[in-house]
Amino acid sequence: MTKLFFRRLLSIALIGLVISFLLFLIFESDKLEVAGKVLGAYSLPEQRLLWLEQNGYDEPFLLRYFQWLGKFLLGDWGVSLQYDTPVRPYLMDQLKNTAILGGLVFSLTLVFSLVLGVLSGVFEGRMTDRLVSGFAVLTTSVPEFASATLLAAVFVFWLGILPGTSSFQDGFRWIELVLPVTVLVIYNFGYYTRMTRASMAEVMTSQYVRTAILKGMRFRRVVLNHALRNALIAPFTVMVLQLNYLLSGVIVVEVFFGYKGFGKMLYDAALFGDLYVLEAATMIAVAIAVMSQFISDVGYALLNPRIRFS
Amino acid sequence: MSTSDQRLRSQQPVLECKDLCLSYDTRGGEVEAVVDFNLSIMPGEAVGLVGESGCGKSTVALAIMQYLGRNGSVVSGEINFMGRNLCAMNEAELRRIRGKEIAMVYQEPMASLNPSMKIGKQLIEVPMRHEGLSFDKAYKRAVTLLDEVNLSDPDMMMKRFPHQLSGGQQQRVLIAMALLSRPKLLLLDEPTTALDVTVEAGIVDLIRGIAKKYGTSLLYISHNLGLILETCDRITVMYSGQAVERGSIKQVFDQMRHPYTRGLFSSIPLPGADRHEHPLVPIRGQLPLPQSRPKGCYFSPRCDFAKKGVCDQEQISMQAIAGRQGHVVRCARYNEIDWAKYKPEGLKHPVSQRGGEVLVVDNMKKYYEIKDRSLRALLRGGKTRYIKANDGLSFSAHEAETVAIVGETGCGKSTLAKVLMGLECATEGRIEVKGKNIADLPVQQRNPQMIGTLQIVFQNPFETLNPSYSVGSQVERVLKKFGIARGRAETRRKMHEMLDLVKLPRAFATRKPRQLSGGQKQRIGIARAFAGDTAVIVADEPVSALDVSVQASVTALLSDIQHKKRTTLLFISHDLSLVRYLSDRVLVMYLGRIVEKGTTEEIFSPPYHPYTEALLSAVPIADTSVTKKRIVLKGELPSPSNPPSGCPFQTRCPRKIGKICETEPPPIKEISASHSVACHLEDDVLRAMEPVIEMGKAKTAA
Amino acid sequence: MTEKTDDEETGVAPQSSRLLGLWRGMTLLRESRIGMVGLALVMFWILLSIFAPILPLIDPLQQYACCTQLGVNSHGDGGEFFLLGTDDRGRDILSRLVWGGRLVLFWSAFAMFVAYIVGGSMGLVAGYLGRWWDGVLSFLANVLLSFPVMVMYLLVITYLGGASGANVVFAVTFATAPAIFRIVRGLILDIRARDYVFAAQVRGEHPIRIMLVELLPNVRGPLIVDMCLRLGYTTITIALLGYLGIGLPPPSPNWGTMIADAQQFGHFGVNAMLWPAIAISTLVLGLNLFADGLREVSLRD
Repeated sequence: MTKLFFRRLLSIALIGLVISFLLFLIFESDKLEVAGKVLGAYSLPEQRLLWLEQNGYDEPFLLRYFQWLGKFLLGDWGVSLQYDTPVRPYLMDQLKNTAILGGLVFSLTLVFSLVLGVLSGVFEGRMTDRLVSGFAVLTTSVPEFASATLLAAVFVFWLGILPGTSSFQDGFRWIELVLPVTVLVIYNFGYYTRMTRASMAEVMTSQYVRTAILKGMRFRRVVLNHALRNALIAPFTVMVLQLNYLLSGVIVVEVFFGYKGFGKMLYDAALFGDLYVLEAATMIAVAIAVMSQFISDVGYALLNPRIRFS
Repeated sequence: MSTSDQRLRSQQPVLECKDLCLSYDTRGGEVEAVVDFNLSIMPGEAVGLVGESGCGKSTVALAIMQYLGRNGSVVSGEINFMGRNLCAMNEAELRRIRGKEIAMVYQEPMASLNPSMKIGKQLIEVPMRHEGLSFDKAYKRAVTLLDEVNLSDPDMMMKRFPHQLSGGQQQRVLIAMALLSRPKLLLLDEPTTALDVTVEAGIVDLIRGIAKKYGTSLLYISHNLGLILETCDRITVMYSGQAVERGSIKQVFDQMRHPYTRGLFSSIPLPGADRHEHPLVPIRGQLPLPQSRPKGCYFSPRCDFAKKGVCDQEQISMQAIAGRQGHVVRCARYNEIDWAKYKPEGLKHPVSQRGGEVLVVDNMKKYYEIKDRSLRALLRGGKTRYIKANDGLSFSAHEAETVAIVGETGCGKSTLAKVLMGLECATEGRIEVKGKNIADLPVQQRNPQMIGTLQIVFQNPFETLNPSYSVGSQVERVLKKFGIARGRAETRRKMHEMLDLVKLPRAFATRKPRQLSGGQKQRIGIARAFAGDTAVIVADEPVSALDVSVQASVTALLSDIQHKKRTTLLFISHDLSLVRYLSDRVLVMYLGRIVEKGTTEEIFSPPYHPYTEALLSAVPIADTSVTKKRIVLKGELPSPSNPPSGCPFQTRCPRKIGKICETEPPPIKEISASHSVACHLEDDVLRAMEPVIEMGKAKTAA
Repeated sequence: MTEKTDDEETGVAPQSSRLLGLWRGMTLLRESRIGMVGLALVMFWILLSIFAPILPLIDPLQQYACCTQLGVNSHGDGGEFFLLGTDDRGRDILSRLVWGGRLVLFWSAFAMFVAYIVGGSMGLVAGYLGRWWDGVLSFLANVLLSFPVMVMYLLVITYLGGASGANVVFAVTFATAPAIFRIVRGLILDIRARDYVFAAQVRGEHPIRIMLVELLPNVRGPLIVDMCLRLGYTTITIALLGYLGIGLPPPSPNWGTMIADAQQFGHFGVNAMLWPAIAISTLVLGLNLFADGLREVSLRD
């Protein structure tokens, strides 16, 4: 098990390294463009060359990469070109906001979809299942920007009971979180639920569940003790992996509702060409994605004794 | 248990199925799975339920458990357990009976155990649930039971997960689980089908002991008549959803009355007999689908005695046979058939004169490297280990000769096939086909003619053909590939000839594999293998996945074509009875080595290698006149990656003589020019061995 | 297989049997009600897209100065009737919806096709050949999968020089090919040890033939289902990129862009926002239901 743990860690670290190198390649292989971004579009070529020289850009590419990586790991992320402020505190601030949003969404989705998915999988083909499945397929079909539109039309413009933006102009208010969270939960809920249902339904028809029933166990005990653990292995790992996709939903929702979070920051930085914010933000995003993959892999091994003891 | 209780039990059957009809709801409408089924099991009695796949025998077991799924239902009839109708019980009542009064053991032990729960936990919940035992008491009970099913180190076993056990151990765990609450009735649904013969022998021994020790009644479901003979007191034979014959073992085995029962017995090979004395008689035709059963007797279209106006009119009911208590048969003409005169034409096994050497395998070794990639191994300089899948095989095969390769899981026979086919290269040694060494010639480097001379028939009929293409086009592809036919018309003609050769109608050419039965698919597989200018055919368990009545005809077809084409046949099998029927010479393999080789006669009579002896003893034989010496192997099959030192069989050998077996590889003792045994046993010990299988007097037809 | 004499001989023409198979598949699908609902929704949008040029629609780019108030059913100065109203520049929403659908459907189908070619062939190779092929390709897929999708879109499109159809296809391929790779590889791994594959190997078939002829046709069922679902995701992605302003370039109508444009007008934009939101949801719902229906039918067999 420890061997597996370290092997996964190593492979994840390698993936992270490759991606960071790719990012560096995209961002900084064209030195003149970097200088242009930093000094502004109207800077003269001589100024740019001078800037490059002063900032150590004459070093070999690989060396620059490792210096850059080292600085990133030590927390020196440069200065935002758009806001002229150090990137790290700014980014951390936005990340905190997104963590609130993402955390809420993830935990709510997890609870709803696991409970409903398990119920509908256990009672496959019955009324509960049809209702849940129907609802799930409906919600997976409505992308975030569409459901945001629909919900905003009803609750903001028609009923007028919820705020249409979530920019926290007057400080933090829970009510501004309602729409963004709902939109994200709706879209992700369907996918998770369908997967949990499929997994549960499959396990319920397995031979070992039959064994348990024919041992005379109570149905509830069969479901909770015998079926649930095996059925949750697949959904759990996929859900953690999906954190990656949650992030893209977060960007859309933050842009739609003007929520000052990591996603909106990333989006703005990309459009503005705010190089250092973009670099740091993508690195953070990749780190989150890679970590979630690691957790998913290790979690799978922990949940599955066939891998744990082999 | 009080005596009055016992007396009460002896008066009434433990289980009684009365006029049971079961059906499944399918898209095509309601399908009757079991029709008009009666069965009773007395206390302590073991009853066998035998039949081919799809005859409804497993459905009966699930109906007794009242677990038919959402689309299955009991249409009419009763299932009475200790006088109470199970069909009328609610879930709560059933829960008190399942696992406590009636327990079940299943066909696939691995799938029947919860993969993420320790064995111990899966066991102790039974007595805790049914008898309200405390954890400690339940734990003790579970350990005792594991010990009683002969699992070594039960305490350790409790802490294991299912995937850490072998198939045999898993099945023992399931039997222990079934016995935990001392049930009155134990249902065994093909409990040994997924296991190797020697492992099977151990389980069968255990099952026989159960009935004696606990007085448990058994319902033993199997397709194997030999196993029923070894375990049961009475037998019910099923055909297409109906019981066709019922009686004591002696009555049914020695004086069967139903033509189907008769057909079943005639189509299975017996290891005591050879092919010329007792030719196999296959049952013609196919099992009808439940939706399209014929009127009257379901067996009539396949029956030699069917009479128009008698057999194809009304439902035939079970008829008691005069003078034979308890023997009933579902045949309208059982009294009119004169079995003594009935001499059906058996399958002819032509005798081929063997020619020159075609295949020579000389000291062939195939090792697989297992790299230890752990950090520790890297630091210590990485010791690579090897799986010795084939460890020095030497044998030869002649033209028109059948050489059988016998052994159980992990003996290396599949690896040998792969190396021969060129999917793997030998690590060492030579393989000569018609004088040309192909040991390190992968299939990509062989020319089409070379490939065509060496072909294979696969085991699993459901995988042998590509489901996406018509049967004809798959045969045509082979013909083109081997350069046998050119041009569309010629290829098509040759393809039709191949279909003729395997006795399939030409119209089958346009069918997709899923429209064919298992036996028909195997025939196509055989046609494909013989399409080239074939010199050597490797047949890897070609009939083991087929029903017994089909096995006979496919086997006969294979040896018939082989005879015509004077092909060398390497017949890989675990079924010694079939081997005896089919082969001229036999190699017995264990853990990658040949432990004994000789002509078929020599292998089946002493002196034996101790492993051959155990194998022979393990074969279930459906003949009441046969007596066998019982040898049950102990221990588990060692892993091929870590084989025992000295003799590979020493860890399980009942004839182990001492240290020498553990240290020295056994010498190869030449018993005769053609017979050799790799064993440390002294010559006089070997010569003094007695035959394992003793045939009784030749059976006279009833 | 097409020679006349041969067909007469066997009685069944292979061509007709293939058509028959298709017909049988369709009749099977009829048994799944949700599948039929899905098919109807999808066909609705596909037919609208195909026939957009010949439908009596107002030019989607034509701006009617009289009708720049959003969200009213109104008549244009030339007597045109705007059934679903007009947007902020006085363009007919209905017409933009249909033409936008055409655009979104075309590009998502195209992008998915490209992604399938790339991911599918990689999966085939990794699954069948295994060994180091599998090692390298799986690592590559893992690297790409670890890239947050949206970040990848932002980077690919902003760094490839702005919004264009080709860039969108490129971005979608990058983001979805690894997922397709995993699916195909898994399916191939599942069947690569079947006896008919061995049979092909022992008769010396070339690996490429084995992959394309022996393996690929046998995984088509699950892949078709996946394609339906993935077409839905891709549609969402393309509309989404439009919404974020980094997708297909304006002024051609695009559901995502339509929402983004109308959103600036808050209360007044609701009508113009609502219709494209409904459009994309129905299309994706149709694809999802259709895929569910297909899966249900194929499992029954």
